[in-house]
Amino acid sequence: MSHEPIDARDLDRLVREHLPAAVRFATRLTGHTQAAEDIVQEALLRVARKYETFRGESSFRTWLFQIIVNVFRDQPHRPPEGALEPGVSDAVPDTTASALMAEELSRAIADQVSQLPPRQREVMVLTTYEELSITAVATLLETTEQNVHALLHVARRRLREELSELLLEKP
Amino acid sequence: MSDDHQSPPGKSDPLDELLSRAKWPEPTPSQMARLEAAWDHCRPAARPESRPEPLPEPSRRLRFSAFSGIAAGVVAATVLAGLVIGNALLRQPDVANDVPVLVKETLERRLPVVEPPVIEPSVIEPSVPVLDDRISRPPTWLELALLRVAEQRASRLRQWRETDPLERALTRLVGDPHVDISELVPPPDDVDRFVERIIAELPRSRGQRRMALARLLTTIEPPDSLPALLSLWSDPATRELVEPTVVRLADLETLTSLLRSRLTFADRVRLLAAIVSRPEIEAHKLLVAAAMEPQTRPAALAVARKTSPPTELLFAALADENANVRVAAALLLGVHRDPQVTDGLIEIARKTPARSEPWIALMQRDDAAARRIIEEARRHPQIMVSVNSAEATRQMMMHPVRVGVPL
Repeated sequence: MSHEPIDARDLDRLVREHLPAAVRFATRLTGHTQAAEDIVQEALLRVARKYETFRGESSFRTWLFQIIVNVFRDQPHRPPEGALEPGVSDAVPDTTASALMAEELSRAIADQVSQLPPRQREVMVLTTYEELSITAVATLLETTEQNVHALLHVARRRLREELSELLLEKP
Repeated sequence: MSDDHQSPPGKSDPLDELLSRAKWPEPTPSQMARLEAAWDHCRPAARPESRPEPLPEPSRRLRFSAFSGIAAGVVAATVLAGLVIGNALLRQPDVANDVPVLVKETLERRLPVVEPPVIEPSVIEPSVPVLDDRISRPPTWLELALLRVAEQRASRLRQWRETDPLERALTRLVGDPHVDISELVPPPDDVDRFVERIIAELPRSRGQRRMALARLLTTIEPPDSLPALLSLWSDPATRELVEPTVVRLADLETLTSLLRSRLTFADRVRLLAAIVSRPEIEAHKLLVAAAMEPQTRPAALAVARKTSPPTELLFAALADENANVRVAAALLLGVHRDPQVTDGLIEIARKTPARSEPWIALMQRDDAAARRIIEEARRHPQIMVSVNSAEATRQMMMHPVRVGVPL
């Protein structure tokens, strides 16, 4: 593991490589594409300002996500937390009824996750959707593993309650 | 991962299965382009390269090969150039083919004007999907979950409409225009938020909803709502409703600019009448100013005829040092309904017969005393000149020549 400061050229390559993942992460945190873009833009500024502090102790992705979480926490006026706006995609949409209904369900679940209280949301998104280990999440959020476990437990219990009507036993 | 799973070990937690279905919007190409541009703008510059290593000394053989190649190229280029130039000099110009052919395309007819579709912003009711009862099997877990999602959304929307103060107020106003609107206004602590919502809703509202929002705004009359009220005033559908509030809240400068905007005669008369009903004296001076301008003069005279403004103000304006003000005041006094105005004008005319303004006013008056004094003045050769000049001025003011309009 390198402990040398990163080169500007390498930084450029790494940022471009991880930019789509960063935007997805910010979208899951905020539940809003515009807010996600604002957060990532601010995060890029911070990356440019303090890239020399990155010495490879963690992966670049983890370091970048840590900056995004800090920006997310620093937001003074979070956008109103409501239903996600419909996504815009280049994919050819499948307009069959079942596909539309499945899409509706997927958005509803994403909606619930993005409306969790901020700390629970961070832990939920990082573990379930970014697939980081508890240890990695604890390092990223600068907290203890016990705290991450506790937040995850509370977040899941809350989601279980919010989504209880959807949680039916399969026939 | 199931940190708190309630299912037996070895069996997957339904919550995890549900959470795995969550889907967020993907980053769009335009979003990524903006972020990449932002990164290009702020990224640190690469450090300058270290001094480059000198190129290796080419071998003798390579140098000779390079030289001979270059020489061959120069010779070939010279020969080719000679051929091209010689050919050009020897070739006879083809006059017939030198004439350019003009291709002219004209449109046979104009392209049809396509009006953009009018989008009616409204709260869209989510459609609740209905299970097709021709399906012979019971609904799956997923289908039931989807139905519940749609029902939850519809129920949340209904609940919001029933509990949100603005939506409740609008529903009642649209349903019954005669409802006591003061009942719909929230308590003072919540009024600011209520007004913010009204102002935010206005740009995208239409029809009855817009009228209802305007009614609420004019009932509350928040002091900083003037921009919203002015936008409602500029809409003919809501102008009359909000005009009294606009006249109360706006300053005279704003009201003057509204008077000069494109209005019908009736609208201008109504607005000017509302303005001069304000208590400050400057509001009546605005009436004189309106009488000075050809665009607003007819409305000013109509308002003076209808509302009988303070005569002392008009008589004071009759003595103003500005000739245009004096003439405007004369026209307004001419249509004033107070019969004592004639006596005042006759007195001034007798004292200062050379002044044209009192004669202008008397010519506008429709009473016997005014007609008598004018007849008397016409018989005096010295005063007749002033009277005739007054008549010419009055005709010019009452029937101004408009450029571009055929006589």
